Formats: sequence, C-alpha cells, structure tokens
Amino acid sequence: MSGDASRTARVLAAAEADGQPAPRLDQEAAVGALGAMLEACHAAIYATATAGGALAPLGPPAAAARELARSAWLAHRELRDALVSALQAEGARPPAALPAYRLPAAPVSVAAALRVLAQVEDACAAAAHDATAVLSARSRRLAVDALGGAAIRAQRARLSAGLPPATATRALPGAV
Amino acid sequence: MSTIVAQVPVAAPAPAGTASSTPSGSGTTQGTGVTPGVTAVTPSIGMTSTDVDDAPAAQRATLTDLHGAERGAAAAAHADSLRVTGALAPLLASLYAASDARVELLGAYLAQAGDPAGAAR
Repeated sequence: MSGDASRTARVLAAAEADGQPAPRLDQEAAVGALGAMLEACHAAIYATATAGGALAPLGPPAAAARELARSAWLAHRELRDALVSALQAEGARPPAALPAYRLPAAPVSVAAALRVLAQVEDACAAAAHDATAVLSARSRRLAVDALGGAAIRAQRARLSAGLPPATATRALPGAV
Repeated sequence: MSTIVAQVPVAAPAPAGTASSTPSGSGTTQGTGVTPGVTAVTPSIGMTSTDVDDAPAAQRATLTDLHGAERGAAAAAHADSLRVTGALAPLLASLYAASDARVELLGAYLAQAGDPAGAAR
C-alpha cells in the first residue's frame, strides 16, 4: 500500500471508529489529499518554528531570515486551521502533528535556515499541487491558494539566500 | 497553409521586394492591419526593436507592462484552476502559483527601478 493510500485508510478508519458513516469513494481521495497537505503543514510549522528559534541568537544579520521564518510559521498555522476545518467538514479526523520532525538540514546559519525554509515550502507546494487534482471546486480553492503562498515563500527564501531569480523561481511550483 | 513568417507580427519594415512573396490572403496576417513598408511600429512586450531605450522611465514602463500582464495571467490561471477538474487542475494551479511569484518578483524590480508602488499594485 502506498503512503497516500495508507494515510487515507488511517484517516477514514479513525472517522469510522468515531461512529461516523463511511465516506464515499470520491471523498476518500479528497480526504487523503487534504490529509497529506495537513501533514506537510504540520512539518512546516515545526520547521519554521525551529528555524526562527535557531536564527534568534544570530542577531541583526539574521533578522530578515527570521522574519521570513516567522511569516511562514504564521501562514502555515492559518493553513493548518483551514485544513482541519476542511477535513472535519468531510467527516474525517485530521491527522495530528508528530512530536518532532527530521529537518533536511540543521538551521545553524542564515544560509542553512533559508535552505530549510525553501525546502519546506517546496514540500507543501507538492502536496497542494497533487491535491488540486482530486478536490472538489469548493475545497480546491484552499489547495490552489496554498500552492500560490508556498511558491512565493519558497521564492523569497531562495532570493534571500542570494540565489539569482533564474534559480530562485520555479516554472511549475509543486510539480516535481 | 500559412507560413511561419506570416504568423509572426511584423516588427520592422520588410525589405523591398519581399512583400509580394507572402501569399495574398493567407494565414493570420490578413487581419493584422500591418502594411509592409510602413515604418511606424511601436514595440511592445515580447517584440524586439532596433532602437534601445535604456532610460529609467522606459525601464519602469516596460516593468509596469510586464507586471500588469503577469497579474492578469495569474488571475486567469487562478480562475481556470477552480473551473476545471482532473489532470488539468494541477497544471493551472501551478501556472497560477508561478505567475503569482513572478508578479512579486517584478514588483521587487519595479521598486528597485524607483516605483515603490510597484509591489503593491
């Protein structure tokens, strides 16, 4: 069973265990996609908080990167709440955040923190991109807007890291 | 069948003697209103011109045009991504995200070019 399928089964099983009716098949895909977005969002909240905390002792030279981390943290918290509401509206139990996540790199410097921020946004963009294929128009707006936000934040992080626009931008964000 | 030459908007006067080589009434040139030999061609986005204008005002005008065009493209892709279903939706959503990011990038260039309102437009 693939990761997405097992995640969907887990979320749906949790919903059935609560005595809710079994969702329809098209709902399964939507719940799986929203669940994948939420799990990426949980990881992003952890990563942005960790990056912001690691940047704090670095003082003024890290102020801009820290502000990027803070604004990303706020955006992902807002998205998390919207995704939780969307999943509950589908009758599913939203997946909970893990106690900790393995970061792609330790954000011990401004450059490393910006790389982490960009990678986290790329992961969220990929989840949102995939979700747009299976969501109904009502909840697809959430994924489309999340994809746009992630693309902009990833671009900001790469530009702040000194990358030229040619490599800081993505032709098709989320499409890996 | 129209030729490639016939499909490309004319940005410069055609050399003497070439106007008659384009088949009359063929392809997309019929409705463009471009008359070979007329020199009053205003360069716009995506068109090249032999006249280089590197003045700050010209750069700001070009960036403003690009910024507006990109905003329009982003809005169109956003609306389309909500209208379609299936495999096309991720593509349009991704195009929207790319356009939106380019709007911000062009806004930053506009601000650098002395138009602080660029990013906010």
